[in-house]
Amino acid sequence: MASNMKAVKLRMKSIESTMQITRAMQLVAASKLRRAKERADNTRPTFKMLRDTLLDISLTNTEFTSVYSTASENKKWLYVVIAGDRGMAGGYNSNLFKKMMELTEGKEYDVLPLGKKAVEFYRRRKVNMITDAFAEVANVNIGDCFSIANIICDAYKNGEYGHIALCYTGFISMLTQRPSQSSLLPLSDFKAEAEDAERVKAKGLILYEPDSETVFDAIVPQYLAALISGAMFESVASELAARRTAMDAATKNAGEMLDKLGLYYNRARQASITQEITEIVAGAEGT
Amino acid sequence: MAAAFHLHIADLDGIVYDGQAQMISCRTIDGEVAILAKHINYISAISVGRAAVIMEDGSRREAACVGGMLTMVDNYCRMICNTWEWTEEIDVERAKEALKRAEKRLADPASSEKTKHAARQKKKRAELRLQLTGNK
Repeated sequence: MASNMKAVKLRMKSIESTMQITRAMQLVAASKLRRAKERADNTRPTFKMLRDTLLDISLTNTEFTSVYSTASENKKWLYVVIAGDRGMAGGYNSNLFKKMMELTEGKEYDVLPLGKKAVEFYRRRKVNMITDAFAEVANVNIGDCFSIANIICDAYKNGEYGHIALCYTGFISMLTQRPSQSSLLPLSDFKAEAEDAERVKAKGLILYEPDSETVFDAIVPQYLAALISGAMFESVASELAARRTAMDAATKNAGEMLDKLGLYYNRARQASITQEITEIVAGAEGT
Repeated sequence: MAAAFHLHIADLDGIVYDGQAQMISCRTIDGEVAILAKHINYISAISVGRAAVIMEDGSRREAACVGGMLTMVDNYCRMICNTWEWTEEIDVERAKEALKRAEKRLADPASSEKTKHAARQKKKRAELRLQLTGNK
């Protein structure tokens, strides 16, 4: 019995220290989350507006002079995947990768991973990465988003890829985050994504100044950078929210386990005392 | 009063303005343009320059505007910039420092062509901010 008690005590100690870690992680995630959520909330309208604009362009575009605007024959895809740097965030990373597996089913594709988890995942799977320079999503800033956009534009212009898409986690609420995807290039892909039928109606022609090719060359890298940075803000907020929820649950579970083990420990202690008394009494009676 | 149209300005940090306006002018890659109500559907890319908006009540506001795109579709103008700062919100000290830094980098023979290019862009933006705030 005594050895059993010792084992229980040890187990309780280890759970206590795990609980300390999970509680600390929860607090850190919660405090970072507030700022990340604010940033994502502030920028969300801009990205919605940007997408609306691109949709308008893709619906009305009748000029096919720019490589960016027309669908290409190339069947190869490039996915920009935004995941987290660390685990301990519930299903955050695995849900995203599951979504990616669905999306890439039967396609030939390369990836541009952001976040250590994404780099590790695709390295393990031996999927070709065009760069892993942006492994730490926590350190990626707006300037880096512009560099990524330039890399993508160059690759697309050289005809290496036919479609470019973005896979990230959308922040829906503190408790819900959903892996989502968004088209990046060519612009005609946006048409396929148009959800409300109301917008899909013929609009008047649009005047491009000086001409559509020059305009696209100037705005495409910028809108790519903007969409990527927006998706990144959403993903970072999602990761923190997921981590907070997961760590909250872990702390609660640890507490419950401690309560159970405490009860068990006390019962064992009581039993051993009772046994000792019985032994003493029996010994006294024997004399 | 001149006719108004819906103007929606946003930069990468969020929505800057969403409401009615009589005119917006800015510098595009093709030169200065001014958009009035009922302008033909139009798209252009924005370069670095001074932008001005005449509000619905006729008052005029100026801003430093960097990069992005300008679209006018069905009398609804969307302006998405990399940065948009109203003149009164410009941080003069920061712009002065940025200008100094950029000039230093341009003068440094060790800088690569890439850093020089970035520095030239930075210098242009800093000069615009100082010009707008009357510091140059």
